[in-house]
Amino acid sequence: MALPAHLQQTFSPEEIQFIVENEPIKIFPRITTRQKIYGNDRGVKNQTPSRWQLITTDDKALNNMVAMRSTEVALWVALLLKQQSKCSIVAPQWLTAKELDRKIKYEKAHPDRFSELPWNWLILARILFSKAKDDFHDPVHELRGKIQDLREMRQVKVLKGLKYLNESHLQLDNLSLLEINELRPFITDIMDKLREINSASLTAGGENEEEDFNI
Amino acid sequence: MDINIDDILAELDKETTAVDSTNITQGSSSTAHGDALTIVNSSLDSNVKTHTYVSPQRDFANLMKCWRNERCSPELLAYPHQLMKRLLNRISAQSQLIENISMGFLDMQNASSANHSMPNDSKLPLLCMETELERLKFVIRSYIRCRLGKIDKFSLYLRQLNEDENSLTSLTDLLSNDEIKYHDSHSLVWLKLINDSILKYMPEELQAINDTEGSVSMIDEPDWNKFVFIHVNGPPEGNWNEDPLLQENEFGKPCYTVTIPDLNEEVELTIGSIYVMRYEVIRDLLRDDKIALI
Repeated sequence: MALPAHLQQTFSPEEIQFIVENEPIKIFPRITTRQKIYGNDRGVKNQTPSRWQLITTDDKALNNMVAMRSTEVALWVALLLKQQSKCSIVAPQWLTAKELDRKIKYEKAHPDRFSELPWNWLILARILFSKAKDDFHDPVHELRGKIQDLREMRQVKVLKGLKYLNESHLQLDNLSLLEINELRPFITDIMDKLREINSASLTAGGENEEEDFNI
Repeated sequence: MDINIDDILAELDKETTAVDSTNITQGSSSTAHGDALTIVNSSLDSNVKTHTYVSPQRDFANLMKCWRNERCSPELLAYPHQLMKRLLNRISAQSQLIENISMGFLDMQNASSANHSMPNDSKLPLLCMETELERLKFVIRSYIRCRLGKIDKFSLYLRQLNEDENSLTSLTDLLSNDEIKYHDSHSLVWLKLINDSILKYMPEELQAINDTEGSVSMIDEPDWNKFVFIHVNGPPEGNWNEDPLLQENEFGKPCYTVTIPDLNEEVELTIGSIYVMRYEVIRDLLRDDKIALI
């Protein structure tokens, strides 16, 4: 019953997507769920029990949707509505050709730093490209290309950075969850090994001082 | 130090019956609280009964946090008794509601209030609610399975923790009642197997399964120094001024300072940053909810 071994070390990409799907996103609903007759929310709940009643996110936004007036819901709800063509999803600010160009420029200008992208950028872009293609202002293939460029540039930086792995600690600002997740097994394993070697050399060095030890 | 295997088995029998009786008392109290879905007694440590409302969103966010921390940490973390009780109550109430709606029991009221509603309109919320329920169940399932894996792995260690009177954490805080039952019966079965297949045929002095005196301890402890990825959140609830551990670094940014004992090295953990750190070093910060594992 315990988790399978491959999930005990790290998350699977699907699980990362699951985590990202709980984040809020802006949508333009195409349906109206607000009912004027019942002014306050409590009244609505009592009298029309078949409407949106959620137990993990705030259902107020869902019960007050007005067609073509933007609102914020959890991403998985947005995808569900989108699938039923009941809404269009508003792409986040950073997911435009102009903004991505700026990020690419930044990545090029700073070889030792990562540009500031939201922690879920890779997954979010991927989800929106596949599920909400028609909601972008810029052509999707262009955006997709830029995202891929960004990803590859960052990957190269990460790989270059691997030589600085040590037994003490590491700071990785602005890396997204997916990038961290795919690095996790490698980085932790290497650092654990380095730590073991370090502590072994410390104890061995203490016992027989300048002597060489070969195990 | 060496413990005879038969003693362990006899003791386990005693323990399981003890657990059963406590279980019954706990069970009755939970049914008493069962009606209060959202207003719950959240006094975990203190005996003062304070009723606080915890919104569903907040509970779900906490569950996600617990799940992610549990998945990344090398040790078994404390079981969130109150949180899980609330969530399980909500799940059963919600599935009841969904069943009622899908069976059409609530249509009568609905038809009177919304006469323009199309059949398609009422399907969508239902679909959404079902999806949500499945999502919630998935997290809880994955969370519990992750914990079970650790309970299996650290079976002997947990037993030792339970017997050690000086230890600060009791097993009832660490595990849920069901997990304690699982732990007991699982280790019982496991000990029996080991005993019947191998230990019986060994010389008596080699029969111990929890010998800690040799060069390598037989009890598997969590790897306290394992490296983990952390995100520094800062003090929970945003009480920035009331956290004595919080300092300002040379750039004027708030940070926590931790020391790595093996290396005698001090590290500043800036709020909002991501680090790879030894678990032992940041364990207290994790317990206080100031950082999260990612």
